[in-house]
Amino acid sequence: MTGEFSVLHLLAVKGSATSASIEQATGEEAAVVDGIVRRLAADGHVRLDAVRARWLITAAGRERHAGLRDAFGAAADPDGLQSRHAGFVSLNKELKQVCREWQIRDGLPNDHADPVYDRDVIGQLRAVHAAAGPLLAGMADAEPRFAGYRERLNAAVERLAAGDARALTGVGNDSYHEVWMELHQDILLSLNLEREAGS
Amino acid sequence: MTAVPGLMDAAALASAAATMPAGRFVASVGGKAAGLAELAARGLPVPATWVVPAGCPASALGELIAGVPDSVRHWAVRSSATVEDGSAHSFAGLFRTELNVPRADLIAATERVRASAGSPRVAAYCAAAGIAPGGIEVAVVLQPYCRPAAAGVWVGRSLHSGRLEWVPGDGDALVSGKVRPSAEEWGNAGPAREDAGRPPLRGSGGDVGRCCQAAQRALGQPADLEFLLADRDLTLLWTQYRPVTATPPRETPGRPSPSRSLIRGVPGSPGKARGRAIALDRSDDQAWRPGSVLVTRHTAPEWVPLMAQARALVTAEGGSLCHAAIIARELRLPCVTGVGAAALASIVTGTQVLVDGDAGAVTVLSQPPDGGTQSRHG
Repeated sequence: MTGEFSVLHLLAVKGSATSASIEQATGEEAAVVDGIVRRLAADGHVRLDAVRARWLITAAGRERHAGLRDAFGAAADPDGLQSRHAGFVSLNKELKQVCREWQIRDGLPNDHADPVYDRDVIGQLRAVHAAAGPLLAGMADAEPRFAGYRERLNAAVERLAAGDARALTGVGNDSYHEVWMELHQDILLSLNLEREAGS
Repeated sequence: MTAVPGLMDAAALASAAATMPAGRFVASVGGKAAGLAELAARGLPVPATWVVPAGCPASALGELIAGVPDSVRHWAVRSSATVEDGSAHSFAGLFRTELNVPRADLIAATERVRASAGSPRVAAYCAAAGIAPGGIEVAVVLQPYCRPAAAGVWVGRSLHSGRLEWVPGDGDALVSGKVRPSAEEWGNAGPAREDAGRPPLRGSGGDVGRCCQAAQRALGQPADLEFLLADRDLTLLWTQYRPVTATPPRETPGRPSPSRSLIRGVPGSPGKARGRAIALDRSDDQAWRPGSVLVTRHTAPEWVPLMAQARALVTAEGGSLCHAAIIARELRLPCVTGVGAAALASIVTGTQVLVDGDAGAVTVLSQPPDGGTQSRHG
């Protein structure tokens, strides 16, 4: 997988990213990432949002990404990734049910004042996370990029267990749901699938 | 290391504006207070104002606030965020405002407004916008409060033209979307009214639209302005000023549609909000305006920055368990999902809608008469 595709794919999944987060996600040196994004920018595939200091993928960049994916594939073993999709879709429903219970209790926002209720929901998350283990391992075998999601999901579970109530459904803090949604988007983009109904 | 500035009244604010380097001044008092100082310096009337600077230690708040007059019984407490000019506008609606605060509660209200910089919505926006968490500090503007007769905004299109929107009473109803504002388009020739037959908004100094045009000339550029008309004598006071950063899409004067239509979907996230819809296929579409109702097929990670700025969210796909609903609940954003592609297509940019996230319904209040085709790419 070329550096150019790795960066384009990351931006296609996330929409935008800082140079630092591209380095972290792709494991490339700063100078290498800088060279790649500058080349992509010169070709009009990404542009720099100077105010936010983030790289954004352009419409042309999405076309380029789709072209590279269709020609060379977005996974080392596309069939191995494809075979895990159905399992993911099934767990995806369960996870989002857990998210809703974490957020809404008896029709009202959960104020996290009842530790028994919260512990029960965290228990449900652990069950989903355990079931996701083999699936995530299989995805990482099919394409090494997916190993990163597993690590980030593990970290979110640990933060939640340590008392960070935002680690399950929080926004902008690498919460479990946020990482999961990114993983979902990566699977859809990698396999060129439409979003499943209701997701 | 300079000492933390103390409480500033209007005179101290003006003097600081004149003597401090501009960057340091804005970093200390925030965008709103800096705008008030600029208005006052150009001879435009502003309410009596005191500023609690950003970075003031919590332990010093009590002593600082003891410096405002006891004779004023009720106060308006507003945030004045210290973010760079370019992004200041994007924070519209993300911070807390408290109105009609009794003198005895002033310290607690100030603390709540300062704390709103740590809310999930602000954190989400910062993360999405690449601003370091804690990279924002909130100065607080304290002004005597008296419910105004009317309040509104002016969005300048050019030095001589702009759009005026106002509501009776407090302007915060305008921002929260609880009330549908009246609107006028002003050009060189005068107003083009949107509510046929109604006279333009007038204060003691004449047509407010004309006053806004005059204020732009005094400021030397097109401006985003906020104003109120004092209850007693309709005196016009300017409450906020920012140079225009983006021109709103132009809408032809609208008429309410003959019948309100109701669109059924799925309750995604609780709460109700009213506002102007912006229908987008792509998250990087320049037509997006913070504070609008985001209307889109579905959402993916790239849409989160827009969701953090939205007043409400409507999607064609998904149910109460879709990613969009989970994020909307986290952001306390009213959301209706799963309205279907056909219904979604009927909500074009410029449509005024009421999003009821409890019932899972969207009411179309009025359609833009041009069918939204102009404003979509405005």
